[in-house]
Amino acid sequence: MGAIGKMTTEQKQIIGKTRSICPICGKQIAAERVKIGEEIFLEKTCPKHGFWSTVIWRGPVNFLEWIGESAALGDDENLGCPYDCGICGEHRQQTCCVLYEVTCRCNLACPYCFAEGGLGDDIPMEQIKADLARLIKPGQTFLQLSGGEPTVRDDLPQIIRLAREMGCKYIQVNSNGLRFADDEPYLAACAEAGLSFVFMQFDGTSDEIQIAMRGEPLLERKKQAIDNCAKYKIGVTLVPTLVPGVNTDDIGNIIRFGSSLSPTVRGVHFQPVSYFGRYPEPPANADRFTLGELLAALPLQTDNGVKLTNIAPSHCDHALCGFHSSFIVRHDGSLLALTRRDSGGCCCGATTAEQNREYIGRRWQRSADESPCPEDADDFEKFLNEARVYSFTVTAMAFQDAYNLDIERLRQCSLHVYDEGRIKPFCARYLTLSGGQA
Amino acid sequence: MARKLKCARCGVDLEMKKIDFKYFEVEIAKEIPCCPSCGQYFIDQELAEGRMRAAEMELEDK
Ligand SMILES: [Zn+2]
Ligand SMILES: [Zn+2]
Repeated sequence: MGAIGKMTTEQKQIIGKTRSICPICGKQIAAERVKIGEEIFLEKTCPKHGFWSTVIWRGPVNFLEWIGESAALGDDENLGCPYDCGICGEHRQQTCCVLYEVTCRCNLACPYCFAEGGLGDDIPMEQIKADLARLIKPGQTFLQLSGGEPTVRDDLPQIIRLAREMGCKYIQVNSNGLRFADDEPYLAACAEAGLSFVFMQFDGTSDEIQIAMRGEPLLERKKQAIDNCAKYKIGVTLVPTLVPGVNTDDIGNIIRFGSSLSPTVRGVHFQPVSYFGRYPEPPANADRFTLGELLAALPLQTDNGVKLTNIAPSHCDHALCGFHSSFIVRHDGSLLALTRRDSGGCCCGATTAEQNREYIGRRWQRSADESPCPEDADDFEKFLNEARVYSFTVTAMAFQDAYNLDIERLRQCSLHVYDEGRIKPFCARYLTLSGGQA
Repeated sequence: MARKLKCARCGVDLEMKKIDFKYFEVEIAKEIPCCPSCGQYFIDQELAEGRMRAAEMELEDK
């Protein structure tokens, strides 16, 4: 793409100020949100390592309208971010979900992977017990068991049982689903131990996409995993990592595929690709798919089944970090929208992490009672029954990397990772500098 | 309805009528007592604080 050279000749307009880091030395530096043509960039200069410009928004959805009145960084605020993190007193959001890595091993070798897969020894059970005791708040915690690939551990059911006994409210496993497809007794043991729902890596509805993303034709095994989850009443949320030119035309197909498997599939959670881990050179702007492009693609690829007016920016996290949208899958397979985006002027401010946790947890978990309404039920009862049983969410989370990191976003993050006794925002925990240094 | 209700304003017997409740894209129809004269309808407490409130909660953004 010769685009960068061309852009500099166009009019630049600064539309916001924040802070970021230098992707090489990691030093916190000033950053500007700059509009050039139809694109928004995060631009920053390190006195030592030079100028960086990363696209953060493209497309027809109005950027400033979308972010609304988010609180800008004060000059003296969050100066230690992300290095003093753990979490510091200046962090603006409570923990919504806490992610806990049970292994760094994986049973796939993906071209696109967040986790720095490796061999290494698994955390011993005694350590897990001690960690969970520290991080679980009984009756509250939404725990994401992650990895690596957590299902490579034969004792995952015991970990789930332990977390359940310690009073976890929701227990989610982040998985590629392969073991759940191949080993039904293992899934049964997880379900019996108290697994709430599965976050299943699902990058596309064709094997062509599966191969491009994961190196293997996995579609049939993904379907088998969903079938098996259906048997044990485990809700599944499909999680595509979106990479431009690979699966960004499959967004509508993934939603149709997911909603056709309601009530087992509870929603789709899109994650535009971000660049953690080691990369030989800075990712080009053409390698990025922004939240704005995802928003624009949704109505286009769903024949307006998911409209922009149905999608609300995250109130719990920063508006640039994600969105949510809730639906009922009707008998004919169409989506009935329940969410409406406030048309500006919202005065209620941020949502608490607890509200967000309940909103998400209640929808991603299958309803305990899926029996149809009695004959004489009125339309209110029928609506409530369908909203509970056939709930379907379309959500997104855009992770940050060293290039597009925005401290204003980071300080509001509610997805936290347990890391050796400390709780850190997801994007601070997995941040890697250009040399691969964490 | 065990007893016949009368409209407080008009003194006329209320009649059951189907009302469409609209919430954004959701429409829920329900027969409730209406006054044939002034058109006012009456929602009892059980419906208002029960199913109706629950439906609104589903549609509220958190
Ligand atoms: Zn630097
Ligand atoms: Zn009347």
